Amino acid sequence: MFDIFSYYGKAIRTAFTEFVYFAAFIKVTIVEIFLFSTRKQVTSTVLYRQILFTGYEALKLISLIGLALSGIIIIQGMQLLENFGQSDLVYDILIITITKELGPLLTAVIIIARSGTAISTELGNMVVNHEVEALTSIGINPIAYLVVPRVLGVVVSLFCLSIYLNASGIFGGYIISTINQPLSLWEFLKNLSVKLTIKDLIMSQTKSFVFGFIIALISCYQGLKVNFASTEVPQYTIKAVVSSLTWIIVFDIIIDIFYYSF
Amino acid sequence: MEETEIILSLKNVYFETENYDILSDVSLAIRRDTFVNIVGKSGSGKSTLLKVMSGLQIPDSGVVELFGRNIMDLDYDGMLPFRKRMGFAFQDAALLSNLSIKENLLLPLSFYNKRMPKHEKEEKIENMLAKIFMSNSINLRPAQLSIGEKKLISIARAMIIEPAILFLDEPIVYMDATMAKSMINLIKEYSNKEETTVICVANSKNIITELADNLILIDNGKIVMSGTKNDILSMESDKRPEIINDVLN
Ligand SMILES: Nc1ncnc2c1ncn2[C@@H]1O[C@H](COP(=O)(O)OP(=O)(O)OP(=O)(O)O)[C@@H](O)[C@H]1O
Ligand SMILES: [Mg+2]
Repeated sequence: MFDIFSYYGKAIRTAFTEFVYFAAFIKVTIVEIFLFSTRKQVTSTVLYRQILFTGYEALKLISLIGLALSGIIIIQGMQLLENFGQSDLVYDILIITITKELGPLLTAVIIIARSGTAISTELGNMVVNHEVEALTSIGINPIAYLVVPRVLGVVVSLFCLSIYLNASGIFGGYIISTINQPLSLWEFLKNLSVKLTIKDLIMSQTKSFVFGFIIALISCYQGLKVNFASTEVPQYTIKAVVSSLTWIIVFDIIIDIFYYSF
Repeated sequence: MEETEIILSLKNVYFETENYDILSDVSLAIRRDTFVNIVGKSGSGKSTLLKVMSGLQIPDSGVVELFGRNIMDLDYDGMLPFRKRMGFAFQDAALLSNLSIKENLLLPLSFYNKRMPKHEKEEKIENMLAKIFMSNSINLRPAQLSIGEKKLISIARAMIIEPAILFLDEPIVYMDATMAKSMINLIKEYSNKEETTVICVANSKNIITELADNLILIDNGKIVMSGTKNDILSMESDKRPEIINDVLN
């Protein structure tokens, strides 16, 4: 007879164990983040490389996407707005779409595609090649050496890239709107600054900060979950991508709810 | 030979998987300043035994004592003082692939000698590489080396902090005769130092005859024979396990 209780009992138990493991992983990582300065002798190069790869090398792509995205939004928006005689609303549209929503979200998606996958594949392969075990044998804590610099690198990079995407988005918006209505950049920024509040900016950057943590923690965790076979590496990478995407959307909504309830 | 203190011991150690035991009821004691060689068929559990001895894998039951202290209940930080006194060279080298050879050797050095000046560390690394004739590879990545060369570097990485116990997993496989010979000399030099214990997994006649003091024979996760090399080698060949005869011939 199919025993429904033991069946779901097992599923719940597995989910619970998984949750406990992940929670423990996060706890150790956070503790180690505070110890980073004491360990920087061996970990600072890893951090530097991570920022170079995640932050610097993604600049071109991010600026292209920022420019193109805002261009598209403004072109579409202007046509609508002119019908209503309200082309002033272009600033609101930029702030709402780019700064508050798409900026952090798109940057995060790009980072998942570029760096999240790279992190979980790299760590997965390191497990398969016994490199993680080798670190342990030396005495170097793999969380301190592998996870912490990657988390810090991704958080810092995502934070900066999101500012960059915002800036290039707003600049793209300016270029497109001058086609319709010649305006100096100075004036454009002045108009924009009237509408853009500190609260918007804080919200936007809070999102990037949280997204950075989510992506890096999940990618590292899934990468390190590989056991021995190299065939597991792509499987865990897919898991890392799917659950990173899921959780950034969940947290996007949570942060939105907070924003509108204060 | 005079008896030195016991530096490492296992008592009734079991290491299980869902279906079978990788190690079952393993007990042994290793004395300081000896060279112990572990012999066994492929898949008999040699690598697992080595990892259990060095605290890299925690067995399901039994007791592992290192330097007179039970390590079964130690956490990561608790293990650190022990790790500092042990070096481990993995069967598949396990060099960090995104670091250069120099950075790989620097890793344990910087970790344990935070105050050692940079030039001193570099000098140490250069000397070590010169000993194994790998000076030209200092700035290469592991992927640019042959597997035998990688194993040389991994042994150098295990030796560079001058550990009290050196664990070697198949140190001379994938090496040509010349390379193997210089490897054996390097290990010999190390094990001849005072107070160094070497625990080595190898099915090699040269290592047994030139280096070993004691032998441990393992089959199917069980110790089938152990004793001094001289006792086991002088035994009649039908009284000892087949594997040792195969290795010696
Ligand atoms: N973590 C593990 N989980 C399950 N099985 C394992 C694990 N590690 C090793 N094994 C199995 O345990 C047995 C012993 O493995 P081990 O690597 O210790 O053998 P070995 O004597 O070193 O072999 P070789 O000479 O080929 O290196 C093998 O059958 C292997 O498949
Ligand atoms: Mg082995």
